[in-house]
Amino acid sequence: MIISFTLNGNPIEWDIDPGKPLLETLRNHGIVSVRNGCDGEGVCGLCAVILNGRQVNSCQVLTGQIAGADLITVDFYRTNETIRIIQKALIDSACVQCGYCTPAVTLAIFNLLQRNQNPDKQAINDALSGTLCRCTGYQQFYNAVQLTIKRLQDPAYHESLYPEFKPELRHVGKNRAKVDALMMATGQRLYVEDFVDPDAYHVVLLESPHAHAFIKKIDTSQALAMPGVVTILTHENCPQHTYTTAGQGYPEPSPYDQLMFSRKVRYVGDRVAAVLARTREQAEAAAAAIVVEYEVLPPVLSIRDAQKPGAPIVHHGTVSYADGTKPEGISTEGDPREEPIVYQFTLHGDPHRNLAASACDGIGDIDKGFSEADVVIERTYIGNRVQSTPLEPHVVYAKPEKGRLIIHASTQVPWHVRRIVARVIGLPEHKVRIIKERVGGGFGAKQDIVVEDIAGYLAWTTGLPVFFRYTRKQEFRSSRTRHGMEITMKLGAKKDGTLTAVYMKLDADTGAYGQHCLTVPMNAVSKSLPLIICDNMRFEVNSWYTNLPPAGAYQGYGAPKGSFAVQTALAELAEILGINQLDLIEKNRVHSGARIEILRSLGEGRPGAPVTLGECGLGEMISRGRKAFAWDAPPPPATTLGWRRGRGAVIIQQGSGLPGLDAANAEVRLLSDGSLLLLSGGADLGTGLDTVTAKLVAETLAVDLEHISVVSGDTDITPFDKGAYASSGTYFSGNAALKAAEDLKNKCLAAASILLQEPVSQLKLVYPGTIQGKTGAITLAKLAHISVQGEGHAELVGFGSFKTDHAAFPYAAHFVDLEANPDTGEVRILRYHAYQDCGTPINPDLAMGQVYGAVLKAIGHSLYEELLFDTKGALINTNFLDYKIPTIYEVPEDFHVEFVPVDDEIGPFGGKSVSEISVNGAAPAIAIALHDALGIWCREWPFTPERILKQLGTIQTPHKAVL
Amino acid sequence: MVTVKNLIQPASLDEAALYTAHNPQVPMLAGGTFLLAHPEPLILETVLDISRIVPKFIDVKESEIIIGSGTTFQELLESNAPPIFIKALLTMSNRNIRNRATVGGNIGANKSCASLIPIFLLLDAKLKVTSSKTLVPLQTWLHNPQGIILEVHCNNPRGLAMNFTFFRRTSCDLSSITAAVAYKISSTRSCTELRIVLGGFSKHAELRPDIASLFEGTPVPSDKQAIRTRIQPLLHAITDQRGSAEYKEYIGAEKLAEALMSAEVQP
Repeated sequence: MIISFTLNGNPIEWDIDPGKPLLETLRNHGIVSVRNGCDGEGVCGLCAVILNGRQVNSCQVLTGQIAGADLITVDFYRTNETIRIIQKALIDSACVQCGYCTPAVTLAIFNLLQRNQNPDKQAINDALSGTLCRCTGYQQFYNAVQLTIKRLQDPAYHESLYPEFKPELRHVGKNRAKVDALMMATGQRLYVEDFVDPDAYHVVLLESPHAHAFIKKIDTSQALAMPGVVTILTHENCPQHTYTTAGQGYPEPSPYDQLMFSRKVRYVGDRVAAVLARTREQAEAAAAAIVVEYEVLPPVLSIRDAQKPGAPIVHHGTVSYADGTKPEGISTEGDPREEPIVYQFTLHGDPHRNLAASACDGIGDIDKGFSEADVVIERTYIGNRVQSTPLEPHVVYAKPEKGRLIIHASTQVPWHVRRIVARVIGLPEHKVRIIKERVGGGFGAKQDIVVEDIAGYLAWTTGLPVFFRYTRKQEFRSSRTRHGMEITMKLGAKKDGTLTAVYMKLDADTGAYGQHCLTVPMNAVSKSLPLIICDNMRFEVNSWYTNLPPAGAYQGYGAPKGSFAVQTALAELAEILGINQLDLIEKNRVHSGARIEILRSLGEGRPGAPVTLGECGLGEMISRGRKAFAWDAPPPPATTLGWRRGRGAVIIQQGSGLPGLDAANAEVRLLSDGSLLLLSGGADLGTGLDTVTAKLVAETLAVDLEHISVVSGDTDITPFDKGAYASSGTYFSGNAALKAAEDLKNKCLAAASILLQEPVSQLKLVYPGTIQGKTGAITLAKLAHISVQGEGHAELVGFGSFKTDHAAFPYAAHFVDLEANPDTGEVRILRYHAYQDCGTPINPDLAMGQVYGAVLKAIGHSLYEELLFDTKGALINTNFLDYKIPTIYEVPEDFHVEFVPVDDEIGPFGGKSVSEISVNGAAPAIAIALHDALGIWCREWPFTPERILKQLGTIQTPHKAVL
Repeated sequence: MVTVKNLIQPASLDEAALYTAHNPQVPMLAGGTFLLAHPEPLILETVLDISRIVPKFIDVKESEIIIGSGTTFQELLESNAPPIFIKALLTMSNRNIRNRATVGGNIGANKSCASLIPIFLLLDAKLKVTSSKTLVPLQTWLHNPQGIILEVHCNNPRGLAMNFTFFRRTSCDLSSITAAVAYKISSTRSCTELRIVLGGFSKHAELRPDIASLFEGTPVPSDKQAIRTRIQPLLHAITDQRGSAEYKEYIGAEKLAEALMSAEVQP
């Protein structure tokens, strides 16, 4: 059908299928700025267009409905100045992180300003209410709107929206545009799905309807004969290597306990078969035609079920250790029908008891500590499973090319993807190239290899280009979730609040497979206990297999739940002792110069060592929050009749990469015009890492950012990097880039010394890109040109490699002020302040965006986000209607981020990590504030109205994660 | 995402009426926020697109309000509709959806969380539909939907005390519970002609005369706990991902009590 309409001001005629969603039609016609985040549920708003003057979701418009219509997409920026101004304002306000939602946000603001030239906050909220963003926390969008309005009146208008640091430096500590932001804001081809060739084949999974079952028989014959079907993978014809999907450094602290397809399915949604067909529809039809006969087994649906004597065994394969250690004291002989379980080294697991891993250790004498206490309390805290929900789901495009396998991936760990996929397929690593495209949100979930193995294998074995994208439902249940945890805290203290003993017992639910099974729960301990100075501490960690979806990495990596338990328990202790909660924290917290003994027991997979802390900004941060919240005065009254007001405060910490374990590398090339090419191994997943590394190089080599291009995360082109996890980006990848720049600088100085005939000690590299001697000077451009000529000294290239044993802790103090309705259990966050010591903020406005985003996520986790299962283990809230994430309306009225930088001695220009830590504060701070408001302790998150009413005694029925 | 194999786009209402009379099972498409909101791949064989032919207008008269069924939520919000309509309309998800969702679609979908049905039921709404020469009471039509909705006629609520309350988990969530009330306040400050509609306790939003009778003729209720205690035993919910039955029954009674106590006389 031929239709005519106006697209971005131009009359258009397209031959279309009228019954296709407009979203699909636009993308098929090369308009890739419309994105798909919810598969047509109509909730995410990322496919938005302006149709006849109003913003609508193009997934809910059929193409036949736009005949004669006026349609605008963000691509209108090419001819529309207002859109360009909005895009620039979004960039200058640091609103562009992963960029997946940015075109939709741009259109929403454009549409708003068309009808209202002076919108207030309510109007902005309304305009952006239909657009989900998981990265930014929305707060900086308000600035972007205001900046746009001012620039529409005065195009040259400039405003310093955010603080800057390090006045002596040109780039570091200054607010600069994110290097990839303009491409994102203008809706260019950046993400994996934007690079898929028209001749690509499609993968559809057949997934298990049972939580625990053997596949007795699988018949693919009918499906294989269906139109378009190329092949079908099952446990009968897939590679037989066991592996872990955890994208961790080798040898991984996660058991190799899964096959590409297993004869046994271990959760509802587990892989049964993968169909490769010409179209997605053909693959779906064929998947539905596969006949499977199951032997259904009783499932394990909770940590308590897993521990019961005689519980069903989730993994009953033969157990062995790859490092040659002989497993002792555990059952190792298993059911031959199940794949073997291979630990790279002992994680103290006992799989046949459903124990995937365990650890216990401590310092001092815990019994003596409790015996010396005047008060002992013991409390248990529960954190249910939540999903990170990146708006771009897991997606991969794999194709064979010139005898090699090329994988375009949306991943945080390109090198680990290469290693794992090569091993699974049986290829040497040189045959595999991973190209990390822009990532539409990762948050940890894309540290796991959940689609690349299948797509890579199918592409390699069939010789076809293969596209595989998770549906939103699959993203909810088969990517990776935060671990469910139950944490018991036992604290002993003197009457004056001095802690004498701290005991932490943690049970975690790793789900059907053991990726990150020890490291996530251990991080709950290692990022919460070291905040306290106490001579007697002990922890015990057990990680259990269940038949629920696999858990894994998610921003904070266990720390949010550890912080919830430790900080809330401290507040409960303060109440019993009759001590102000902040005074109790002050009395026992880590401080500058403190020796943190517990780190002796908390090495990251190897023996730890106590650390003597340098400077620590906690005192100043607590002081600022205390003042801002008038902590020592009575709380202000509630703003609504019948509601009650309360305040809470916590201190939190994280790390900056994995000292002693991980490494990063970078290379900087001086090109013949004096510009620079930075090859960084780092994987920017929207956090701005490429901008950070570019700034570090620009600062060191005294050039403008515009003179640098960053190529990152391509295993063929860029050097090795551990990947983006464990808050390592700035610290590891940043330091590698810095070292490469310093290396290049030294090489330039040496080369210039010969040309200028002056000793290196007399030379300085000064802005703009000039080496200045006492008698002469030479620009980097000229130096580069000469160096590659016949009389030169070879191309000037700097190399940097970074590893460290130094642990750099970012710290923060979070304060919340809320009101709660005792009759309904509803909670409203009025104020949330995050005071943060991330060392030198390399790019302060982007760093603030990281904090806003993390805090709002954590507010969602604390108040309403929760994965719910039915009694058979099936996840029942697999979409954004049933699993709620915060919208712009959930932003606290007073949402404030403030940096209190304390330089780290090893970090680049004093920088430390910034993003992950900020998810650790909301749950305990809100729990404490709820107690202040309502007098109840909420020890299970999320603190839904229902749980609050239960705690108040208003209703009796316990709300369960398994319904 | 929904794909339609055969999208029928009639040129006139007569053509559409004829088509639907012969093909009553074929779903109709106006704004698409219900029919096309489907996160799983779904192929519909045939759909009748009425989006361009159903009337779009709002006529607020002295005693009556008439709304064209093709009017979107956002258009109605921007009109001079009475405040109680605004309150209900704002519970529709978010602006993107309100820009597309139509009044007729909200009635046709007849979901328990419907934003407008409670208000229309309170205001004795009648529908002009292609299948009838006379106006059809909304309640009758909801039990036996036929034809294409063209117009909604309802009483102007001026002078009535009305309220619309709801409960949802986040600002842009579907309402788990809706409670709408309308009554006249007598010279003795009593509730008369009380009507109550509840959503979230059955497949569709429903008038609840059983609950209304508890308060008919009594002074305007002011003791929330007492109201809740009387109402809660009459509510029967199911446990699902939005909460346990007990919780929903409690919160339904709470929201209805709030609606009764804080109803405002419509200007």
